[in-house]
Amino acid sequence: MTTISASSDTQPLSLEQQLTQLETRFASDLAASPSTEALEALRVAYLGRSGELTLVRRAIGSLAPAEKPAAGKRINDCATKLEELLTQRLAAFEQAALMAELEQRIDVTFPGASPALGSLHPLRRTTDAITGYFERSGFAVLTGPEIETEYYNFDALNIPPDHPAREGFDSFYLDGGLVLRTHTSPMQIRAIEAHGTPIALVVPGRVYRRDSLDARHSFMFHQVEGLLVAPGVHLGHLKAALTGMCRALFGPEQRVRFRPSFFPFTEPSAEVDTTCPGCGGDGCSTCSGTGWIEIGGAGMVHPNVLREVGCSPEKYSGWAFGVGVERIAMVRHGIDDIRSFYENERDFLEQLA
Amino acid sequence: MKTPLSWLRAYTDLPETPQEIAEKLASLGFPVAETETRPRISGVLVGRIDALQPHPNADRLQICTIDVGNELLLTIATAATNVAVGQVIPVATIGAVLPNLTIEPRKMRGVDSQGMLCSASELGLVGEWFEDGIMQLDRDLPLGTDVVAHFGLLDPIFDIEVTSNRPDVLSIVGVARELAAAYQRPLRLPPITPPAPTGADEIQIKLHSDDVLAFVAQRVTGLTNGPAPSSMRIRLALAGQRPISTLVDISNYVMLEFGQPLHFYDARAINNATLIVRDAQSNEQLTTLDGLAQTLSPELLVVADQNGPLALAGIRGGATSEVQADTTEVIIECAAFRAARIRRGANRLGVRTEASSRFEKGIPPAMIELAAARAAYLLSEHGGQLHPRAVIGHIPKPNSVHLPRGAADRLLGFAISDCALESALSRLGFTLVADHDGWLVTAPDWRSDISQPADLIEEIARSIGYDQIIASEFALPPSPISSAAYLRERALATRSAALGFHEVVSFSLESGRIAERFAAATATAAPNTIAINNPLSEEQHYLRFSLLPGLLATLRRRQSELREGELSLFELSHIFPNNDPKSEQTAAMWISAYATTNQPNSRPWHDQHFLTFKGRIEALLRAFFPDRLHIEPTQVTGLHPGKTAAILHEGHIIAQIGALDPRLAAEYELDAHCYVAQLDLASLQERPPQRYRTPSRFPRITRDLALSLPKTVAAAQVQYIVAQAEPLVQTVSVFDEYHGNQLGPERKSLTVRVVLQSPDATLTDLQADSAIAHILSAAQSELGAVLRT
Repeated sequence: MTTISASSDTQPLSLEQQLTQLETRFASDLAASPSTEALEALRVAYLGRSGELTLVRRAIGSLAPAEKPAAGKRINDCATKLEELLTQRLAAFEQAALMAELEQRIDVTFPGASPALGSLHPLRRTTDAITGYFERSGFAVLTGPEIETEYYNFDALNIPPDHPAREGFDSFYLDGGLVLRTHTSPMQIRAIEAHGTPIALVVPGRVYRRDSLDARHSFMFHQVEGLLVAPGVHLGHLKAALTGMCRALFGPEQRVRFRPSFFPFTEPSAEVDTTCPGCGGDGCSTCSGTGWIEIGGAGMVHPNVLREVGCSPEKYSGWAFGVGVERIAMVRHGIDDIRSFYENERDFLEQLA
Repeated sequence: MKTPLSWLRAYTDLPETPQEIAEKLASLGFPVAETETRPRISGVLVGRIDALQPHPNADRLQICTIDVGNELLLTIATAATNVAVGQVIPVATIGAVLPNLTIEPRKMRGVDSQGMLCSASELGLVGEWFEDGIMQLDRDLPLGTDVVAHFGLLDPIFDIEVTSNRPDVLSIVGVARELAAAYQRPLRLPPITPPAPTGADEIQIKLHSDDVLAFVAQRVTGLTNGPAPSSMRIRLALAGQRPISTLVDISNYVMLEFGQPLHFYDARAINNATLIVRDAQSNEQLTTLDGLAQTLSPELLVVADQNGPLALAGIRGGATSEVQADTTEVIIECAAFRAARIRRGANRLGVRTEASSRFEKGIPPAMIELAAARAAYLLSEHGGQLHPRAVIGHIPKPNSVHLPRGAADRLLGFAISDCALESALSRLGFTLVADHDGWLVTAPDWRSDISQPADLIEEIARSIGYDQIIASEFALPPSPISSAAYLRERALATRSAALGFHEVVSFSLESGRIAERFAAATATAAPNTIAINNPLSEEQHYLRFSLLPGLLATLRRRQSELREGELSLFELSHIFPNNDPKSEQTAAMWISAYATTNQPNSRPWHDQHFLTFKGRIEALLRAFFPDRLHIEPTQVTGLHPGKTAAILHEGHIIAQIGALDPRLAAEYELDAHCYVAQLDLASLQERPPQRYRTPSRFPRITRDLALSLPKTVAAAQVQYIVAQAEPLVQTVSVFDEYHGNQLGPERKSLTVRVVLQSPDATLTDLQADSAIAHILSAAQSELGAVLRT
């Protein structure tokens, strides 16, 4: 039998004996290894550069050449066996770790840690809901100056200096024939002057009236103006546009009704009501029992206004409307005091964000 | 306009329920702003006092024997002192319901009393407007008539909103006319006199102004003044007009009926029976009916005689020619004035009367003869003798407008048959003459607002009903006009919110003190702001020059929230930075306030909050300025002189960012570290699409270089010089600023992290070393930098 010399005073063990003992020791060490780290240490101790099996392999050099292949194969088999056992054990550990992770239980109802988000003002969000609807329908969105000339704010809109409606607007006047615009309608004139006809646009913006501040009035508020001038435009188109807008704002069941009214820059003119979103039209305190809420004024662009911008009322017709953003936001969100929009309290801004 | 429903019912047949009538009025364009319901009253009859006896047991009471038109006479005890035999009065009989009172039989000091005599207030009228004590009714009323039904005391009062183009509807007849047309019922006009007696004009009228179009005057004699008939007094009171005396009440009554103001002069006060309409002279004096002594000026129009002004034409009468209790002879004035002239006069005096508010809306001149005739009728009913009526001036014919066939369909969007169109307009009093391509339409006398086809088309729509308008989509092509500017503004707001800023909306009008406070706190000149000429209050006198005051005011109000660490706000709106109106611009401002418990850093050269805030603003701007922005120190009023930077794009300042001037923070009592950024929105321009650069796939080498530098060298300079020094440099960042004794008082240390990468090969150590050598050499020569070891 082939022997490998080991210690001098004991009977040298055969290669087979050495390997068998080594395998037995490995098996018990493996069983005693508690972690993946311990398994790695075990791998180094047996299979590493100076590991036990590596030392046995080095002794092959001293064997007779005829014995070397068989011995080498036996050692390789042992190494493969140890590797397999290690891999199995490792897999078992990983499996156990996954199972342990699956056992974890937390209180998922604990409050989340939110990032510091900001908010858009309710007036902007309502404005965007209006302009967004009209953008989708092919309208441009333009803005204009808040300081206006009396010409654009009044004269060009068929409100000559001594017109009774001129005083109804309760304007703030500045030096030099200037006025804080009392409505967004001056942009009808400016936009047609700049872009000609046909034209389709909406104009959001701030407007000013000489009104004392209380729960329902403000000297500064926001409007969105709408204008469509093209051949063949009629009042039915206005009704469709405003119905679409109200549905975008309040819901798909909204209806719109027109009531006759008077604005110097439209003829025919109409007050625009929509189904009260508070009661769906049945009547409630929001709509004083009528089932309708008023959202603005509208009508067909007055022929005098078309003529003022060099547009022939015989060839072109158009509709225009102006709606109050605060008014719509108050109805949409159930806000009962217009001053809330300008006080910027946290509850108001963040609740509606 | 206060409109008693009972008065309307006198002129046309109306449905029973007020709600239905109110809805009809709204659908015609005359919404009822408020419906004033009347107190529930019943069981009040017209009675006559047939006998009066003293009460046997009470000095203050009298026993009345009352005839209420049936066999049994009533015995009623009363404490009233204005009772007399023969008076016709309202009697609340047993079972009658009055406001807060039900009449039951009772004994008054031992005498059975079978009812109660009523005062005006017990009938729900304004007590002070009628006689003290028991209300006096007309003696010719049949006894036993139900007072409530006869005077329409239960019908509610509508407050009707009338648009300024329809002065004709500022009248009971006008409202009734609209309703009669809508319900297709006849209109019963109140009676007027047959043509006035002819003969030589007794009144000379001289019109010396173009602003009086026509003038009617008529003398009426043989009058007695005193309380008006009870039906007239009650109607006036229900309409909100205080009854005064027959002569005054008749003129008010006719104005409320027809919407045409008129004026009665006491004929005694008119010199030489001549009325002159002319411009007032400067400094002429006139005491008006309200007792005010007015100093006149030529923009006012007056009615005068040879001695001087008698009345402010179309606005208010004068005291000297006012009708008196003993007036027996009046001159009726009924005139058409140019609306603008009356309006300017009323504005000049700062008054608005029932008359001026009607005249300034443009009453058609054709109304004056009708109203004068109605007044004459009522005066003659009252015993007056009518004299010839003088009419002078030109009463224009109502407008005729050609309405092309199909024009209404085109504007309203639905088909209207010729027959329906003709019926719609003629119901409203228009006359139509068909021609080959449409109609020549003539407006009725009372309409002053019809001048072109669109006006007629509105009338057609009103008559047919706005509910007939059918919604129909208009197909638009994609808009050729760019909305980009607005969309960028929206994107900026959205991104600001995503980065933690809350949007606020502040008033753009502010007190002048705000600019002064700013100037005082920052030791600068006050900004020139734009003033409102007619402010409502000092608090809203000026246009805001900056968004900062509004944001600081909000922060101050909300600073208790800073306990939670930080508060970040922004506003995006118009500002008016100086007194040139053209300076109006859209600006955006962001502000972050950090609690003082959260110290940014104790080292004076470092402010972590500033860097955090700046990082947020840079992140915000990156969406709009993808290429590198240049940043340099600057000074801005309102911001800290040593902690403020300008952000430049292509050489132009687009934004400023800095710590709030601590003096301003102190002025606003802000216990916080505040940081502010402002952007001019005009700088956000449309940009061509960015080009993509394919990144190198070769490994990067990162080197950190600790440099000693002169203190004056800014981090941005270091970044710039390092990036320019060597083409292999991909990115340069600077961190770890340090000032210390071992560096010397004039120097500081910065660590520069350089990332090197070649586009086409893996860098060797040798190449990297060579690149670093280039960088160090450039930093030394350009900045005086020395590598620390």
